[in-house]
Amino acid sequence: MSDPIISIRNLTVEFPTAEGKFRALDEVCLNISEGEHVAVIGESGCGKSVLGHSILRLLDGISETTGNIFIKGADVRSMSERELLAMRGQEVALIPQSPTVSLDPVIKIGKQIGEVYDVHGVPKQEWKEKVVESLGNIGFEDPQNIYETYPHRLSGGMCERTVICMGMSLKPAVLIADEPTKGLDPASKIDVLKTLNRQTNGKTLIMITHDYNAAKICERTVVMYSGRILEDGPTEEVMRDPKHPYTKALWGAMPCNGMIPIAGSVEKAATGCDFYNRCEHRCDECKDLHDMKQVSENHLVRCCKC
Amino acid sequence: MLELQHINITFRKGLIGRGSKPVLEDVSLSISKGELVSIIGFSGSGKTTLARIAVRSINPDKGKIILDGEDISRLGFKEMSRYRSRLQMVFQHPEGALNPEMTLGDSLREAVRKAGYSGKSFEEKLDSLCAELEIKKELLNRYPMQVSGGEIQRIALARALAFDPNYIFMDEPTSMLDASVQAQILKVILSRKESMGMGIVLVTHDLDIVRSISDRVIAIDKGKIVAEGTAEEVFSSQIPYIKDYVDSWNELESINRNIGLHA
Repeated sequence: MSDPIISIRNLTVEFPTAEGKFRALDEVCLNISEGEHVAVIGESGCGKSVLGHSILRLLDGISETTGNIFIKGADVRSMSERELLAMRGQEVALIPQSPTVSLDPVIKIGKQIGEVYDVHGVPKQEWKEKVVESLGNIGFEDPQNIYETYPHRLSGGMCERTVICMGMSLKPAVLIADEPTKGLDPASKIDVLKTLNRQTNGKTLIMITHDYNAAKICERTVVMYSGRILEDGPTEEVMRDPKHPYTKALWGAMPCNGMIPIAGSVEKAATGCDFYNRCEHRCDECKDLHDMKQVSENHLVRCCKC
Repeated sequence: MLELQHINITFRKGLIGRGSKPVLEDVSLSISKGELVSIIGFSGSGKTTLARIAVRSINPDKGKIILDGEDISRLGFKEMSRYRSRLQMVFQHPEGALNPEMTLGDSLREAVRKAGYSGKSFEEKLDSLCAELEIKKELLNRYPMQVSGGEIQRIALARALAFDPNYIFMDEPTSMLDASVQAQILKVILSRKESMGMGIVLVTHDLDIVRSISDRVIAIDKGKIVAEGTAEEVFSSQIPYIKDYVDSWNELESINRNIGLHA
């Protein structure tokens, strides 16, 4: 196997709160190969967005981080501010959650996308044309008009396409999309997923989502809970035959599978498995933390019962 | 029964209103006690506006709202407050639904107080709501910014349920939530429907939910009701708009990683 394009080693991220430190990521290890499309799923608060933001080091100053992140072998945590700016957008880009709120309401769409080029030193006479062209590529029928439009005139799906366009402007090798289909109607969802897939064809995609259907466009799915990875495998296999009790419970909570809520609530365990207090199969062995164990080719699970 | 009769509304463009299109045109519907009605339709079809009119958060240009036989369509703010307890709404974006400067606990206590509880019964009601929605007590000291969307949505729903409403309108209550919190919230309203005969109107894009829990489904296109019936009846309708909607959903469900690469 070739060297991973992104390699995360024992990444721990903590946020200081009034009630002590809150550990959002707990010793996360993850390798992502070039060209791979990976979905990161899990309940709200499980740390999936924090993972996406940490890769770009966007949480500096508000969190305490230990561990390492390598992008194409370069250590992100030791990069200077200038190196970071060059890396963001060019090597790895992030599409934020809720584009209707992420876009600046008083700046025209074209100028907001152009800002990416500005930061990377491309003169305006050159980028204007590029922006119009990429708006066309992303599926807008009238890119010139969209260029001159303010975000409030666009629908949720169009805003999402705009931020995808922004993320892909410098043709980064890796795109991190945070909840790209949240709150959209089915037709817009399909549109956004197709656009994402087309734009990241041959590139690496990390899709953070709680949308089961959206995850299906990725060949690999990583399931997170309480800041840890519990299951990691081929999407088709993880969905057809989930191994971890949490993944099983999550699937069971979907309306088509009987809509059975998972009893209890997320509580970080002091030691051992974080899902212990909600798990139907818990035993004394779960009080120790287990490593990820291989159950089939490329399918890993963190559970002593598997 | 809650009835909406011949509702019309147009959001005027500019001062003169030239080129304005009606958002809702002659929409009539009714919800009985203990019934769950789902409203489906693409973005911009008028679903949210309809829900807002039903709870009197905006006024229609024409039409009536009849609550258990009483016409409430022209009641003023003060008179309306007597009826608020019977008719509640949970909004789409939980982030924006709560006062950011109040703790979750204060937001919830405000609703319990307005619902007429005091003294011992106040504490009991607060406890029973927290138990019903599985709200952890330590959460009540936090501000909306400090908790997840699921936690906020639980508080927003608890606020509405504090009034023990006869009818509740929920505008995409779970589109921002993951499956387990979604299941939990839907179970709560379903059990209210069973035990207290609460009438529920659910505005949603998730046909999987619609199929699983609706008694009746209404499809709206460009401000008009285009189909009404059981989920099976509506989903199998041959009206192009509904076919498009259901087809998109089916496409979404059968999506795989080769999507779009052929397109």
